[in-house]
Amino acid sequence: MKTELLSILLVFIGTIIGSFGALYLKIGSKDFSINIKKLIRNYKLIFGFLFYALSSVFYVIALKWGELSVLYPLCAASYIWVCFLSMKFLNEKMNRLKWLGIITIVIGIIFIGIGG
Amino acid sequence: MEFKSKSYLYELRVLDYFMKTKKEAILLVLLCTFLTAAGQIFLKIGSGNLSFSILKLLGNLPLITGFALYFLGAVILVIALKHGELSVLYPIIATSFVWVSFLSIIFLNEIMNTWKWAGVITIVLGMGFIGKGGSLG
Repeated sequence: MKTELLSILLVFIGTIIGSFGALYLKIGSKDFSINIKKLIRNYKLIFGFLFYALSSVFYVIALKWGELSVLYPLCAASYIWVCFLSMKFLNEKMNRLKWLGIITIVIGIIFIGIGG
Repeated sequence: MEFKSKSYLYELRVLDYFMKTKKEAILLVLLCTFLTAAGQIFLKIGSGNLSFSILKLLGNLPLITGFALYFLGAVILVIALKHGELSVLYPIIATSFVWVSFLSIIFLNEIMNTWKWAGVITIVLGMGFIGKGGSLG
């Protein structure tokens, strides 16, 4: 089975949506409580889960037309988006090691792309 | 990713209780990567019969198993991350990419080539760097 370009695109869209999910989960986790009423009203947390669910829909559709050994490693792209989102919206600091990690992951994804 | 204080359900406190040392956190994360990797194989198999009818989706056992394994892995990961050092645990999380590669060969008859292996190893390395960078602050 060859991996369709559309599948690769779907996985990338999925990783972007998923990283927004991670961002909302992080924001929502601040008001996390075991109280069910408060949980239902914690829109940020719910948004986070919804984003995750949506990203998995994209991912599973992508899997239909592609190799797992190509598409799964592409999920690592979400670590890149999460780094950027945490920098922009959570004021988390980047450092040399994180940048090095992002660049290394990008190179790894390019390798996978060539191999697939 | 870091859930501090009351950020997990009471039922999970049992698991939490048994996890006192970093060694146990590492073992838990390793378990999480196995579950995640197995989940991926099931998701791939399930995606073959993907349909947009709710009834068929609910009858798609591989897909449901895949999501269940994935969810279980995520819950375990959150608990482990609470106890272990990010710089130690992140590279271990990344090993799921290695397991998925092996499982794809064995169960899906996919072929790994040099580029794919190079990509997997590079990604694991990259996640190691991010984990190390994350633990610095």
